[in-house]
Amino acid sequence: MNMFGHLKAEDFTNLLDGAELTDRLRAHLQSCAYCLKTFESVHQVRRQIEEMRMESADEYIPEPDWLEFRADVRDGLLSRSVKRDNTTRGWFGKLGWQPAMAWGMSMLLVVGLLGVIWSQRQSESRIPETIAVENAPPVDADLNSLVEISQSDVFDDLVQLDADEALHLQMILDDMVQEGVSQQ
Amino acid sequence: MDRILTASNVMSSREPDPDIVLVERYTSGDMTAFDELMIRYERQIYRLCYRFTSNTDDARDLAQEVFIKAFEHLSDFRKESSLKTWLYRIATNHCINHVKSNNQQFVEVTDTVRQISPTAQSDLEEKEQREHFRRMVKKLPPKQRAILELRIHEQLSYEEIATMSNRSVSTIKASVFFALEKLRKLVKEPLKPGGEVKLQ
Repeated sequence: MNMFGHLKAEDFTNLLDGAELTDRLRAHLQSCAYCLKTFESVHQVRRQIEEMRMESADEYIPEPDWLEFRADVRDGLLSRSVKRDNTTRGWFGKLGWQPAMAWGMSMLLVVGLLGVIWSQRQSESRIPETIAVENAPPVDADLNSLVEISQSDVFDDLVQLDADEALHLQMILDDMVQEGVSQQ
Repeated sequence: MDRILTASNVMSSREPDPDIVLVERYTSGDMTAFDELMIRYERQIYRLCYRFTSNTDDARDLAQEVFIKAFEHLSDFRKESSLKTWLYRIATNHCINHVKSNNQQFVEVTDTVRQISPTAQSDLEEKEQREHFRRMVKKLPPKQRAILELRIHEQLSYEEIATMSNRSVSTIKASVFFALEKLRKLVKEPLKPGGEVKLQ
């Protein structure tokens, strides 16, 4: 019985199979119009199915040639097993037939990997030198830039010279600049 | 005498299941067991498939697929259930899948009521009602249909169906009731106009 007191689906099936009901269920079925109606309608359907079964038991169903049927099943099994063998062999299966080739390919793979790793390490170790070279002043810098450098160095020193030395040095530099202009 | 009876009872209870013996022979490479197993079950499986398809070619193809699948996995058969239950399980699943994948079938409902005598008319109506009922059985959802087929046509016990479907006996009994209820509602439904009933 369910929470409303009605018969459960399982109880109806038991009843349809002719099982004995408990006193409580029988009393409910006699007093409940809903359960009685459900049972009667399902019982009718069940009876119709039984009739259908009886009819179909006598019904002639054309049957296949059983020898041919078995042969087809045997062929089906054979073709499936052949297909399965081919699939499991596959790529690795072919290598199994040529172990030397498989060994050679794996060696090539190892050597190739080692080569890649070695070249990567080499390129990594070269990187700081390149940076140093890039940061250094260009070797073929022109004369004017050299003069600028020397002048800045000289004038740094000038700060430390006394007045006479500084005047003398200034005169020498002025002469040099004038000579350079006249030569051009 | 008592001793003899007791001994014979023990002997009979120890007799191995012939199906299990055949399965062991087949899995150990004895190909004659193949034919013996086929002969035992080919007709039953074919008829079950026929009830789902109503077509001899489809039933033959389905039954062959069932046996191919069964023999392929015969080594996996655990012998916890009977071979019959195991085969029926494969066949039922196969048939359910077949019905599901071919749910676009149409069943023609021919207009056969013509100018005929009253007796013949009532016979015809009765026949028509039976046909309508058969069609409605086919219209049931595949799993409910399978349960009714196994219980009513194949006369399998609730325990066998429960083992096959990994359900409890109570669930199977309830499923039978719900299938009958569904069928009752379908039978009450009027035919759709246009003379065709689309199977679900």
